Amino acid sequence: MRLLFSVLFLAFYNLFSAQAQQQPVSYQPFKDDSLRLDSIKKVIKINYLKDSASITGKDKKYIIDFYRERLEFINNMFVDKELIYTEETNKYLSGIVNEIFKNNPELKTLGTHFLFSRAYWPNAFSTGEGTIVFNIGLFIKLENESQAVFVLCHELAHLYLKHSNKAIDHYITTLYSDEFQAKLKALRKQEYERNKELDKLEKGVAFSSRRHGREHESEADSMGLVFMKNTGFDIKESIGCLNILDNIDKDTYNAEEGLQSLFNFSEYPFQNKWVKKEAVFFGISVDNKPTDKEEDSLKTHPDCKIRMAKLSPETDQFNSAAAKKFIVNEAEFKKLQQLFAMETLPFCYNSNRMSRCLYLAMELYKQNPDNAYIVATIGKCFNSFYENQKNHTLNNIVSLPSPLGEKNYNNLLEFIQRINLRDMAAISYYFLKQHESKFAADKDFMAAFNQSKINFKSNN
Amino acid sequence: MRTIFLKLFVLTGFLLLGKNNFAQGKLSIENVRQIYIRNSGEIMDGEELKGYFTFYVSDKVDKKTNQYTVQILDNNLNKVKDIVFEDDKNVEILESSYNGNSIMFLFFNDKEKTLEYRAYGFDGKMKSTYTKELNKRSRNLIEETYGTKSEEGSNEALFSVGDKGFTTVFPVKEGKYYSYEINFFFTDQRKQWAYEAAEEQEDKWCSAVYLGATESTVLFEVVKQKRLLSGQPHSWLLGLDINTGKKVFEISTEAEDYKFYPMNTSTIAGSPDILLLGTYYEPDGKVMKDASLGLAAWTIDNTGKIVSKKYNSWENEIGKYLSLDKKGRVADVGYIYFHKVLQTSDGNFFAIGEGYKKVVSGLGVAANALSMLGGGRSGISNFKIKITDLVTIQFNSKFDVKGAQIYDKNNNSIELPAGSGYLSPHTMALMIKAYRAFDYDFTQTNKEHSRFSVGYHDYEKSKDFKGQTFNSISYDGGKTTTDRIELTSKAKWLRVFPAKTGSIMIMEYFKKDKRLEFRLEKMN
Repeated sequence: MRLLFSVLFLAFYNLFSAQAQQQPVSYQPFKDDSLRLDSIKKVIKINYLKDSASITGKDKKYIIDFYRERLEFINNMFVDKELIYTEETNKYLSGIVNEIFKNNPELKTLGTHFLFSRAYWPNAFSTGEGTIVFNIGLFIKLENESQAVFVLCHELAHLYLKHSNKAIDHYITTLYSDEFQAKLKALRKQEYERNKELDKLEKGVAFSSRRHGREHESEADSMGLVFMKNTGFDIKESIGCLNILDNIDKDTYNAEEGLQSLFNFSEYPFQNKWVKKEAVFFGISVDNKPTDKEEDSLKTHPDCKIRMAKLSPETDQFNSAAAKKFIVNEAEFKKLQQLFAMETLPFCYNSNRMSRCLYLAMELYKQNPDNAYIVATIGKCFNSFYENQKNHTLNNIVSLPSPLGEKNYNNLLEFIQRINLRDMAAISYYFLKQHESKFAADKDFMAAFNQSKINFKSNN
Repeated sequence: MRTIFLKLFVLTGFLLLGKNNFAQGKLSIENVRQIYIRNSGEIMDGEELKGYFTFYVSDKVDKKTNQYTVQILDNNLNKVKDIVFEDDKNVEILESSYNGNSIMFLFFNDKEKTLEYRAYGFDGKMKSTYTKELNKRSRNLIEETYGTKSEEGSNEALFSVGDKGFTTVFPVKEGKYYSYEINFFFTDQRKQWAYEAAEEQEDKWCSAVYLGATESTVLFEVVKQKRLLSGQPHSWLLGLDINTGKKVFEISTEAEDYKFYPMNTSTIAGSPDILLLGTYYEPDGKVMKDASLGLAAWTIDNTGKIVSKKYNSWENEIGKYLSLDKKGRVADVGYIYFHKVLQTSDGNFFAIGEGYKKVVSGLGVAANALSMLGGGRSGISNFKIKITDLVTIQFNSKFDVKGAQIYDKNNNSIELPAGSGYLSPHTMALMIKAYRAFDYDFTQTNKEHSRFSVGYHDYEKSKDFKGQTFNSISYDGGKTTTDRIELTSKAKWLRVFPAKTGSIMIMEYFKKDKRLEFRLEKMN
């Protein structure tokens, strides 16, 4: 279902470099306004009922099924506490949206809800019924408000052009057509080479669907730019935004170096076997990933470079000297980036993405070693490893290494697989102990430290 | 263990259906597609588990031919390659081995009675193939061998030899002779050699077990008997030239001070010599009847000459750490059957054994008493074999005993058929193996032997828990730890398989969803 949505997609990223020079802000995990979130949820449900009631035609039932799945997908984001709604975040997001709407009044009738998501991965999407979600993992990577506006305008364009609903229609009219169903019925009776024929059918559908998807993305870029040029924001930043997306999968935080420097204690020295490289299996490694000629045909989005080339003539044409990178609030944009970077930690921790939580916390620690929350989070991750390893549930909270994954993150995953129960307890204890004098007054820190002491004692 | 893994799929003809994303009444591509898993197994590089394969019928091509896919997963369960090919509809994969350069599969065609070895490169293309046609007797022998011997997680017929290639050993029957054939396949050249023992065989029964290889020699333990049921096997050590397959040496391991039965081999750092480890018996002892005297270590050079010998007896050296009687029985544990002997990279040796003893069977006595009232016999012996605890014995690099440890587990037992109350310790052990009644599952180690884990199962009945558990004894960095997992699940069935060192792979089948789940669990 997610593939039907507009996705400024990428799984990996280099966090926080833009915020390195900022003055650190005081951070406390966000407390959501649950009443406001509940009311948004109710409106989305009402919209779903309205949308479902308005559908006609022979495929009505199947289209409603898709709408129901879409509603469940959105509801799950509420249930998983993925969506953020605080006075501060809403005020800022509304400020940007109002700037867009003020200059594009036709968008006001779309019945939109804009929400930040706590998700750490860089993404934004329009679900197709009016909800537009902006992942904080993407927001913290951007350089200015104009880039955020391009993201929002792109998603608004998807909604305005009804791309999500068109994709559902295309899917249903293709696969539920009499012709397609007749082919499947015939194949069900075919004894030989049935799967070969099914593969051909499946590829045909996938290529067509992805091609439509890529066309929708190009349309959303162009239409988004039209909305953006009506505002006072700098449309050249659309290219800047795509350029960031083009490089967003290059993870630059050296986890192996981080592990060796953070977890080497005189009482419990770092062991090289924890990060020792193993021979690759079947010639596949993070440095040597297989490529597939079909991959290009199955991509959901066109390459960013192609998108930039398509937009460049228009950005040059409509570029205005009066355009601004920031209109709403530059200081708040930068403050939110710092808070969002921190907010990824409790999100990962609370959703049991413990290996990702450690990776993000180590990267943040490099920028800000005097932050008690980050230090406590690193200790809490190891405490959680310990508790889960003791109960043989470690692999429920950490990802397994993969030769197809990010190189640096994969190094961390290998490390987690190699340390034993005693190592987990000792690393947490000695890491927190060296920060004890600095953060003894911090409640989170002391809770993590006391737990690490208990774990360490029970293993010595 | 591995055979259970294979047969589960073969017997069920497991049908995979994808998630039905379609509304009721409409057909989807995935619910028209049919894929049958034929079998599955581990991919070994020597003693190290590198991954898993799943062999399935991905399409039917015609009446006689199927399209097959071998899906290869790494040891973290990531899919790394699909190898697709067409073949006769009767083939299955017996074993798989990986050597850093290529992967080799041993295929068995039940109808055509052929064994076929195929090596594939990383691109999924076949690099070489060799087909061996089997006569009916050899085929039966192979089926018996693969059906009953799979106790360890390690391979039985196909082994990687460094980056040089692969060697195979399998039983054959030539006329009245039970013999064996050894093959070697080079990965970097289309070359192979075969060694057929039957050509110069004098004894009626011979079998070979792969022990290991050096740069120049491939080593096998050969057991010979004049007659099939003579009960007097003799152990030999066979060394073949790795490049030509010519015999370099074949020495008796019974011609020295004691009869020596090597179980494992190990190279020695900085030396071309080979270390052999195993149990030993009196020079005139009968291996099938007598208890072993202890554990021995021999060092031989690459011409087969014995360089050094060391014997640790139950009575003296080992007896200092375990309370043993003259027959090698440990108090409460009974006789010890050794599943594995290995050397770790810190120079220590470990012998991993399991206790067993003969005890009176309440069931047998009662059944016989009842039967006697009716004037007959029950068919059950008055004795049964009780399988007791796990035992590890640690030796230093000179093979002096350093310590021993007994790991308690709940006893289980097997009833014996009538008339088998007077079995020798060795025969009892063979019987337990045949019944798969030992609780020991496997020993996992990495290539460097820097650590190892012994896995065994147990059935617990306590206030807190009743059911199967999987237990491990792990050695890492000079420290030994134990761990236990309660095997509870909502699945229809659950199995534990070897995984990368320090972990186990749990497979669960959820019947309602026709879903098979694999997960790795790290042991403590």
